[in-house]
Amino acid sequence: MLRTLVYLGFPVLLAGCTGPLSTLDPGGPAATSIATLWWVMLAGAAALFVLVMTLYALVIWRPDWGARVSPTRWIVLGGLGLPAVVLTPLVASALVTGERLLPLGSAEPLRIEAEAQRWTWTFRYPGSGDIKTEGTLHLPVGVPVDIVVTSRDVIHAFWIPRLAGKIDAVPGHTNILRIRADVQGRYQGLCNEFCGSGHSGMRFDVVAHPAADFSTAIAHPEAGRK
Amino acid sequence: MTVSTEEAPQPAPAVDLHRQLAQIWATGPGLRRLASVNHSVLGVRFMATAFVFFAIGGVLGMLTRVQLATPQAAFLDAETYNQVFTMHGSIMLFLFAIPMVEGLAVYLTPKVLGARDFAFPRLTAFGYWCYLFGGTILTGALLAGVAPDGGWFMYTPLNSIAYTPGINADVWLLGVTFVEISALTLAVEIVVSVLKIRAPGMSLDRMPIFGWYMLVTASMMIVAFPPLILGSILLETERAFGLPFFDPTRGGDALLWQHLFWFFGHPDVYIILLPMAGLLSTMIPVFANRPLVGYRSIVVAIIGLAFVSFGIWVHHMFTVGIPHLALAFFSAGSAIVAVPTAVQLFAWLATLAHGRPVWNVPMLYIFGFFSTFVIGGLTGVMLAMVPFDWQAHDTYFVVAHFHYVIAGAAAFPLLAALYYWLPLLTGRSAVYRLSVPAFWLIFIGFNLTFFLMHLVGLLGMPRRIYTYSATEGWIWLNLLSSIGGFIMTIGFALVTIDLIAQVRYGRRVRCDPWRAGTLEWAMRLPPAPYAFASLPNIDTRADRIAAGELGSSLARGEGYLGFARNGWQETLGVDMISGTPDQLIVLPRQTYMPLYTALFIAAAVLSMLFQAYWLAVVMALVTAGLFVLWGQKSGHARDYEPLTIGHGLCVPPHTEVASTPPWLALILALVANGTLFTSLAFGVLYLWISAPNWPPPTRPETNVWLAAGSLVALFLGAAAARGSLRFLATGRAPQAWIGLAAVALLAAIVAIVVLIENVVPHPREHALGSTAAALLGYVALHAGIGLLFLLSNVLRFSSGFVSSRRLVDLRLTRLWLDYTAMTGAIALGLVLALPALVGMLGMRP
Amino acid sequence: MRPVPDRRLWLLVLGFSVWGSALGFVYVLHSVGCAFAWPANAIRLGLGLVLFVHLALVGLLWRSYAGTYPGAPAVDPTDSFLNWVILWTLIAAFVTIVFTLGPTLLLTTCT
Repeated sequence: MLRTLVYLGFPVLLAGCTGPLSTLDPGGPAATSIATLWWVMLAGAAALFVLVMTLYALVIWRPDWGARVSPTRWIVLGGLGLPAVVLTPLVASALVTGERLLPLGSAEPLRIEAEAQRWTWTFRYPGSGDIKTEGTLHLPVGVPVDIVVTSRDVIHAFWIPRLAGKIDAVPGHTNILRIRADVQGRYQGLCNEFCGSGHSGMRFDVVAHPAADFSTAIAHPEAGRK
Repeated sequence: MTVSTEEAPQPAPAVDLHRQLAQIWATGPGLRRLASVNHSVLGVRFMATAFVFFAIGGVLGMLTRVQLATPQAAFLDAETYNQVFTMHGSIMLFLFAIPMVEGLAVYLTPKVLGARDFAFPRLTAFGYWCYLFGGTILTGALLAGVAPDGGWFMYTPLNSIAYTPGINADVWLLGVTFVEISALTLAVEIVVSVLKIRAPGMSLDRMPIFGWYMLVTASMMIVAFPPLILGSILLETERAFGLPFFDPTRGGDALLWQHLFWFFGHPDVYIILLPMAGLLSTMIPVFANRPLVGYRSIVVAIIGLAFVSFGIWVHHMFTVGIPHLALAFFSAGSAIVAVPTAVQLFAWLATLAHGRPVWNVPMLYIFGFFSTFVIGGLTGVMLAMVPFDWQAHDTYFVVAHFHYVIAGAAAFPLLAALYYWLPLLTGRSAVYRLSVPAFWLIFIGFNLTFFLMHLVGLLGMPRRIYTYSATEGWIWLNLLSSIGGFIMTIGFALVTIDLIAQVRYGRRVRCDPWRAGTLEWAMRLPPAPYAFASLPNIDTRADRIAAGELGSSLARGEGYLGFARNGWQETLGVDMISGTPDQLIVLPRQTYMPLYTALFIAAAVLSMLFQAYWLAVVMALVTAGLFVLWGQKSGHARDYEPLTIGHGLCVPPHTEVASTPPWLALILALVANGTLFTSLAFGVLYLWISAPNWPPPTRPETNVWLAAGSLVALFLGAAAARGSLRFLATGRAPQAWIGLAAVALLAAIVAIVVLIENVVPHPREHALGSTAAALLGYVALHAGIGLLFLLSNVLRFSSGFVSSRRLVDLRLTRLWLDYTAMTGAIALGLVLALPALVGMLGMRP
Repeated sequence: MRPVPDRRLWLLVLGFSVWGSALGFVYVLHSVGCAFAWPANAIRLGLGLVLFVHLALVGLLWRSYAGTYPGAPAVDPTDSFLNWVILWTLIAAFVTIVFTLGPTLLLTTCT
């Protein structure tokens, strides 16, 4: 029985935070800053949850304790004070994090176009001749890249969980997402907006090459697959 | 004069009084049940029907869990899965949660407020039939295998004709809109009733907190549903007639749909949550043995909550590419909405802290609420943070979050309320044998199912995928989620069995088993159709009364209206703020008209669905005719002057006062209508500034003279309606004015139809043309409805229902035509301004 | 005791209507400004102006309202209840405007 439990439980623990699509196993600065935000919020949320449930238990099983605090004070401290103390720094820091993730800055970064069409992704590399790849996105390691995302039919969303948040591919609009892969290797991406019967399979591969090899890699995309 | 109205009817002994009132109020047997307009009957029907849809939606949810329990499962294919999850969401939100809230409101509100019924019993019945028929069409489509399959928020262009050519999307658009009619009618009815139909002496500060919650919730519904209804109409028009509103290739914009949908969709969450909080605020003081702490703070909090919940719809759209600055205020708003929620939470904690809490089954379920709601609230704040949402959006993290806030935070209060109010409904006390194990099964199952979804979402699992491979590390989490789902389902099955056991074998209770402080317990259990044999006088906050003692006094007819008169269904109308009685409201008796009207609307909906558009038009015209017919029997055909209501007080009947329920109802209906119109105007401007493929190749142009002419005609109609009212009030015949108004409206309609036919660019070519046509069509439709008002006025004047004391009909017409003229001016102004607006686009970089 | 006029009910939604108006103006001004590529400073100035006008409006309402109806104990309890609720919705609306729309003055305008 115990053996079975360990056998069942272990993979769950091991799975923990890693995985080819895990937002908690970041491979670039954008995903890292969001993962940090998450861990901070998780700690705060756990503390608040314990606090509220402890209060609930106390007011029921220790009525005298709660009655010592006046009703107005309960509402002012818990209803106004607590959220003010928690929310103000949280919103401020999240806005700062958000600003840092925007595609801003003086240097013109590398641009790659990502076009969604049910149920595939096509990537074009405008700076490097008329090269396009289907289903595989090639990136140089350590270089910020602006992905210019659009759609030819319905709304899709471009998402590489280990590198950055997602951006929708909306027909008639172009959206820009800045990503950077810090570690050489393979990542996975997917469509994150429901787009019909092929939605589940609308995945793509991401290969991060050393910056020096990047132009060779996209010129010979098949070589990059190895 | 045959009916004596001056002498006070004598109070009868309790048994006689009961017999007389029951005769007047009871719903007939057999098929005549279909004619019922009674709030207790209809409230139970609403809740029972909602429960059936909950079971259907639950089974669909279980199907998704079976499919996702293992990777690469072959249980459902993608097409079926898409229908299943779309219908799970649509049913749970549109056919379960909202109607359940409405059912609770219909059943409880009049009783809590010390009234015998709602203001518009026929409208309640009509709302119920619309809900039932709309829901049947939706679930019927599921059986036929053509159910909606584009997700419950129906994003375009996926649900446009190019990508969903079947009737699946039409089923959703037409069916849900049909159901929403009931939400809107009930919202208007709830607001009017809470404000106008309370026990004498129940001023606003004495109103039980439940009344405030219902008032705020229903007001939110009045503003929230019109954008969705407009969006559905526009999308259905695009699908059926090719007018582009959301098609990016022809000047529409997919994101316009998202704005319209979420401007409804976000407040909708709070529309479900606030009544739950209302139930908790009513139950917690009973189990804490003390009145609610922070009554005034809660009122401020829920007013704030109602507003802020509208200002955060864009947090469902953080990833569509809106500039970060604009996201910031929606993000901060989504965070600050936690404050009014926290105020309520701590008011409940303080109530318990300052009371002598007793532990009971409802309290166990309230514990379930606290834990799920706090988790859901905290993850909500997380998702409000823009960068985190960029990662978590549309993953299972979001699925987990919203199940905590709308499944957990609705299911647990509803179950607590079920165990609390079931003795009222059935007249039997709970058996309680199964309720505790059922709670633990639901609680553990719920948390197992949904808590793990947070993690699988962070591991990158997107929502709405029908299968996944074995490589992502999602297998065990999904399997455990599915197991949790089954545990939860067993829990709900136990609750159902417990429910049946209580209804059949519970011990009979005659009065107030909880020693509660609110008025719904001051009546015999289960409630008689007239609820109160006589109406109480309230001189303290109405959640601190001794319900049991008051109940027996009221049953003896010692309150107001403790008699039967003229076979009338009577209740009292009060001054909105002070609660002083100001009118005797005589409610309509049982009638089949609501059923017939809803049936013809259903016929119109089905004709639309099967593309028999001319038949749909005929059915719509018949429906309009039925509404006019429906109005013919309302009110009185003579003046009564003030009538006695007991305790030496006399008030005029509702037909002879200014602040009469229909007047307030029309004001509220126009608020809803105005929201729809504003959404339409917003849509035009949104497309102008944001849609691709603008400006159109052809320059817009409108015949200025024709537009000016139609505007003059609209204002002439409004002026003539004023003339008819003045003539009637001074005892002169108003028909000539009514005729003039009709001619003016007809002229306006003709002019506008000509304008629509000459819209450039053609409405099928470009969104500029289609929006211009929509604005003009809106005006023409309102002028047409104005004609129905005038027709009803003429008919009712000739049959004596309108007199110089009974002016309300003509006041309603005047208000409608004023509204038509005002919106007409804005709509025509906007259409005339389109060329200039298009010209401005040239200045874009 | 003078009856409280029905009109007073509308005041319950006054404070947050001002917030709604501020949100609407900020949203529209920002969208139009970005669509027509106005200079960032012009947009920010406009946003600041909208914010200031609405905050001033709530402040004025609060002052005029708090002045007109002092919470004297002789006042009808219903009246003083409404008065309290209206005042606090005004205060809450003021804070909400600052909290939700304040950040717009600091962030990048159109990206």
